[in-house]
Amino acid sequence: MTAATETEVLPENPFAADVEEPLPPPTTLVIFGATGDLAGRKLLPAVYNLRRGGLLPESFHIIGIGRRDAGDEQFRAHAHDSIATFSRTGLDDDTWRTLEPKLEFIRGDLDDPALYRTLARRLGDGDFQAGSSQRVFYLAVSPAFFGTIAKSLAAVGLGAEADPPTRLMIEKPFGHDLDTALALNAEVSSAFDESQIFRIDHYLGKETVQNVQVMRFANGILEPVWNRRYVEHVQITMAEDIGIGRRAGYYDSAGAIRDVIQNHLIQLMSLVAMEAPVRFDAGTIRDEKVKLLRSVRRYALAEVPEYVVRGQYGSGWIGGEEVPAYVDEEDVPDDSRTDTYVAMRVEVDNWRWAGTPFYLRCGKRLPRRVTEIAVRFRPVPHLPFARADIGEVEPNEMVLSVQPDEGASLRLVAKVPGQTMNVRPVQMEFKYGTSFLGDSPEAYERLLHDALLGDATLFTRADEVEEEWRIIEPVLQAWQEDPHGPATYGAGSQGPPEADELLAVRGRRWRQL
Amino acid sequence: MSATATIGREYPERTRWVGKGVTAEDINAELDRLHRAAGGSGKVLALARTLNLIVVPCSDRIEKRVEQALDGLGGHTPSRTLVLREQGKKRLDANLVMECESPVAAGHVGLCHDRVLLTMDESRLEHSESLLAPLIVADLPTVLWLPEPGTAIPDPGLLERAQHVLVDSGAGDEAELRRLGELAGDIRVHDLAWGRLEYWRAATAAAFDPAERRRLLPAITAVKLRYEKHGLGAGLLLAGWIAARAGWSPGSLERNDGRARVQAARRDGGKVTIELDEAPPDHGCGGVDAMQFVGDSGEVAVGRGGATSSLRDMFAEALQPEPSFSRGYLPAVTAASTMLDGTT
Repeated sequence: MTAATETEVLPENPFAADVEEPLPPPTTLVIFGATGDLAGRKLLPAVYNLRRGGLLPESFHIIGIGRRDAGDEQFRAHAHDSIATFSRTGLDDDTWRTLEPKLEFIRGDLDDPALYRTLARRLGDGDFQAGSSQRVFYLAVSPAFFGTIAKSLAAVGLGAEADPPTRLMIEKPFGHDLDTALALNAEVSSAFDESQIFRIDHYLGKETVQNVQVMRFANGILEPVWNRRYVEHVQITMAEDIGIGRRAGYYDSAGAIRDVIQNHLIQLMSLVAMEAPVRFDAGTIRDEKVKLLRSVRRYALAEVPEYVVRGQYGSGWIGGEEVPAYVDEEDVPDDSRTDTYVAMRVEVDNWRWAGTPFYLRCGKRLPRRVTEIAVRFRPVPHLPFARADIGEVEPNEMVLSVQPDEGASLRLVAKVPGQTMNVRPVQMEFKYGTSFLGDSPEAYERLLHDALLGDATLFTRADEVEEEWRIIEPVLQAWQEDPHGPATYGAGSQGPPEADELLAVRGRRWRQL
Repeated sequence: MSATATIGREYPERTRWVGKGVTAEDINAELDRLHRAAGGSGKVLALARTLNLIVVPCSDRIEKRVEQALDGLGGHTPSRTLVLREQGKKRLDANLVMECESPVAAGHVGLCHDRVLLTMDESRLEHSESLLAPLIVADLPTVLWLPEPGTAIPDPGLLERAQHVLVDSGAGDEAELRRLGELAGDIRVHDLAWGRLEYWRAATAAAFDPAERRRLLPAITAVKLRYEKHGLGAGLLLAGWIAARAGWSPGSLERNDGRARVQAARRDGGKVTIELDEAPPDHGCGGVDAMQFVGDSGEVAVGRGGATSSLRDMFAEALQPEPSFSRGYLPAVTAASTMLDGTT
């Protein structure tokens, strides 16, 4: 092949214009924690479904890394079983046959430098060198190892300066508080450039979360009313009916505020409240989100009890089953003060939202599983009807439902047919399933594919993570100094009564779960 | 008019009505009644609102295959499916089926869709657009599906009613490409065979992304393409797309000893030989097994990388406002038609 010259004008790729979903370049995906839960349930099935959908390049290798005493064959068997169990499309032998020979396993301890030398040697072998034009490292391990792995990879030439280029994918939690988040970012950034780091908040990979932006920015009727003049308040809820299962080890040190509020709910809030991006690209969207996060009011420690309520579930009944209290769950200390429920009033101090509060609420062992964004509009300024005839008129409300029934609804008020002027609220509903064909890809499929293509739009940037922690930090500090623990709420109830008081102005109340 | 109603399985729940010598008004009234009946037991049900699908005409020979394909669409259900068939009796008969999912839990919404089999005489079939007009759900896209290769469209009005025509050139011989080349000039054609080639198009584009490979492109002298058994049509479609996008003018297809080749002219006057060979059995994906571009100073291989989408995935794709798999189809099928013209 001829070498390029400075004056050479390359022909454009004539085939690219007809391709909607481009293929990533030849890739080696290295999964740390390859035999763990996350890899088995999410990552390997995601890779399989991408392969099945023809969204991976022919040259695509996976190197699994783990502490388990296993070889290639055992890893392949583990991957096969994981895919068969957890893939949304099942397992098709033809697709599996194209993937199976591309799977390898390296056994090693994550803090052992020899592991990284072995990995570098393997990646440098002829067959990988020839095929791969990028390496992606997925850290499906405890965050305690993020820094060690990043620095160890850089030490063997697989970090910021690597050739072929590398990417690092890490999972939340990104730190335990602001200090640890800053330290983690600094540690990872010392080994990889920010453009190489892909922080996953899998919520952002959900179709319906992405749809929040489409709803807002592609529907002309919403934008004029999407501000403090027309919106009375916003409620963002992520309720679960399940308990903590076997996650006590992680959950008891994190609590609902770190597990859900700091990342998922603040991310949802930023999508609802951010200004319209000029372009739909990673830099622009994340700039707008960071601007929004910076305009969120930081509370003084003394203000925290006024704005934030925490709770912990007691025993109760859910779905006709009696369930234990949080402190009676497996591996939870009897005196645990961990929050399993948080309700928080967030004030956004900017021109669009000043005076319109955002209420964030999450919890476990609530009556049902639901994630939704409810935008409550201000009431009409004047009702021309006699109030005695029509009673209280509910203001309009738009609900964007993330799960389980994905869609949107708008509450209007309509006259009840008849001789009298009776009115009642009616719902205009749009459900995803009624209007779209096709299965949605799993969030991990979308996110992994984006990362392989280098598109960071749906990933969290370092400054975003830090701003999220800055919002939460005063709450964490206040709770640490608070001699009282979280309020107890019965499993299956609407949450602690204190949370109702958070809204109890101007007739506000939580949407019923 | 005779009417029967039967309840089928719990999931999906299926309610049926059969009428002979009916009108479109009768059918609409029964569809309303079936939907009300399905939701009558306190369930929350919603009618799917995705598209009108007209299947035309559906012969005895492929009736079962069409039925299975429609069953396979399952939850990816068109709002209203209208299947047309011809019969000797001079009347319109209808067989309506309302299928509803059972809501998976309290508070969830179950989806319903309906399927209408219309059996009619030849003269009604020739004016079927006027019959279907009142049965089509307004404001939704309408897709005409021709499941049988070589099917003539009985009423040209159907082409005006539909925004999309769904075909599968892979189900017939390669001569079907000629007809589709003409059809695609008038209406948006979604060829499922083209959808199955999506991976190959993406892989070809990816193969020429690196600058050093793009430099090869103006001096390509040969393309070697291996197609699956009975997949010459798919091979020609892909070869047509490559020729069209690379700016090559293809000549006629020459066949000799089971091998096929096309001579094409590059813009600079150079010659490109496109060789199409059949792959061994059980090789290939989407109709193609492998591809290789040969130039004076190097080669670019494009290998098999993944399985292809299912029929229902492709239905879903076809309903996008700008379906990705229809991109590039017209130049591809036009070039493939050119290759087939004057075939030796």
